[in-house]
Amino acid sequence: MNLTHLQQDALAEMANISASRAAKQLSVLLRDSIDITVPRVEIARVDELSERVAPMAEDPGLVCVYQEFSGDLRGRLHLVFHDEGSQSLVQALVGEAVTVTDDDLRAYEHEAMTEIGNIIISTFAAMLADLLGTEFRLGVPHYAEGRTEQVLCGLPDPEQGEDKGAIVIETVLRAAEQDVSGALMVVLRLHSLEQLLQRLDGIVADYSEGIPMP
Amino acid sequence: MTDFIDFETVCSEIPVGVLILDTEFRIRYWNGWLAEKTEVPADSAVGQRLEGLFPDGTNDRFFWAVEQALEYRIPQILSQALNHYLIPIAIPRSGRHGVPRMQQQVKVMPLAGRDGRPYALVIVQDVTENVIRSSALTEMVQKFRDVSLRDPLTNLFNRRFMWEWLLHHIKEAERYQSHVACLMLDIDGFKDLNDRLGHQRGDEILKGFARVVGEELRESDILVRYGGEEFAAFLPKCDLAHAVTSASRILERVRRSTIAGLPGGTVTCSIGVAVYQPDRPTTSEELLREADRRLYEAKRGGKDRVMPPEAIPDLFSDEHPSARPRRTGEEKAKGH
Repeated sequence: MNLTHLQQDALAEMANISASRAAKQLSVLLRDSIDITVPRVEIARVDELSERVAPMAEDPGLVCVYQEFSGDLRGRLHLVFHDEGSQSLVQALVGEAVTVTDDDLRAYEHEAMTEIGNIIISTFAAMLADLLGTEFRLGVPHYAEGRTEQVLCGLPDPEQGEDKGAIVIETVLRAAEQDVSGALMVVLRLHSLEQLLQRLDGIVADYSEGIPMP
Repeated sequence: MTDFIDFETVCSEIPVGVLILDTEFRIRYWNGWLAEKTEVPADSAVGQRLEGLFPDGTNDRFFWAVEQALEYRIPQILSQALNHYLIPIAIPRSGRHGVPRMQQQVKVMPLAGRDGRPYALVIVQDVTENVIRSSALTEMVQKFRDVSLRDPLTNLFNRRFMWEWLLHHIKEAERYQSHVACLMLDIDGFKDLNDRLGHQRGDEILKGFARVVGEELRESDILVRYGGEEFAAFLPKCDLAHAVTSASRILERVRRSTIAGLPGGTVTCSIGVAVYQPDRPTTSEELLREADRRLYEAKRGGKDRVMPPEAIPDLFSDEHPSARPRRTGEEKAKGH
């Protein structure tokens, strides 16, 4: 399945706005100016995700924060970070404190990344809810780390057997003062991708007829 | 299903902070734990906004999180790692490991009220003990690390630290196309001095020598006890000419200094110089080997001198001051 040009534009625009909102929140939290590049958007089947994320995962470690959502649309939002990138990001942003032992570092990083993931996922979900005029019920954020297949495809799936697709939004997050950046991906796994795309088409059609986007 | 218990009793007794905010961000519920820890009773807290109760303790991040919970029903977490705390609560033994306030993990959950309105349930968990334990462990590990990287006699860095330092700085020199100088220093005739004056005095000579050389180095340079009476100094961003100048200055300073109560000129040293050059990259091991070779030549050439790499022999012609040690009359008489 491919995205049409209009669908891709609409999703990129939406991702761009949510990324800016997330950047603003992160800037407040981290007391540094955070820039996020214009996101790249593509669509993938769930079984293709490893392949799509692979360029990011030459180093086999990925960290992932995810939140399940339910409501009109059901699925899971992932924020995927390169393991090494997440470590240097967290270290640069929270300083050298409490990071001497490996276990300590992991716990600290885990906690900080869960919050950062929560912020980015929230802004994206809120934007999606606004745009689609629907309600998302998001669960609490979870943290996972491991290889791509494990963090994206190997997580327990609440609804086995349904057709599932994913929207992959890739961007780069950069803290201005601290010379640190990391590629991140929002992977939106949907049990009803078609439904989302139909809604998106409706919105794009309304927009082209002069009805403003929500 | 829950007839047997009153949930307000549960919330009141539970050992975490529980508060509920309405859409105006006003406190609608304030549990017993919060009342006890903050010394703000529930009847004073209810109806207030958090920033009214704690003008210095609340932040934009929290308000945004509450907004997300109220408007979009999205749960939020505020980690201790990034926020430290939400509600400022002094801890009983203030300032333990630099932690003056209770460290907290906060969750903000969306709640639907019986009146159909959204509310934000805020759960505050005290994680101070974990943070303090972690800080204590960090301090301890740091101390062990410091000890494991230093030579106990001179308190200089040891070879283990040196390899770590070189790994990082050679990479940096490669990336930024800069130089790293290595000066290999050896105290001349140390074995004789040690045998003649005793081990205790020998140790004092080593310590005194380390101090004198250290005083001639920049803050960014490091001095390592390489082994026995051999030392290595590493000077980042230092090209060959500057390395030779520094080595000559050290040589001169050692020669003039009173070390371990011995008059100037008694303790001298030989120095071999090698420089990592970005246009001719080498490994750390090669750099050290080259400096060691030059040191050996300095020794063979009569000691008390600097031996640079072959690249600049003109600097070490007989006319160069560092090539010809100025000996005191006493030294000459001793036949050193």
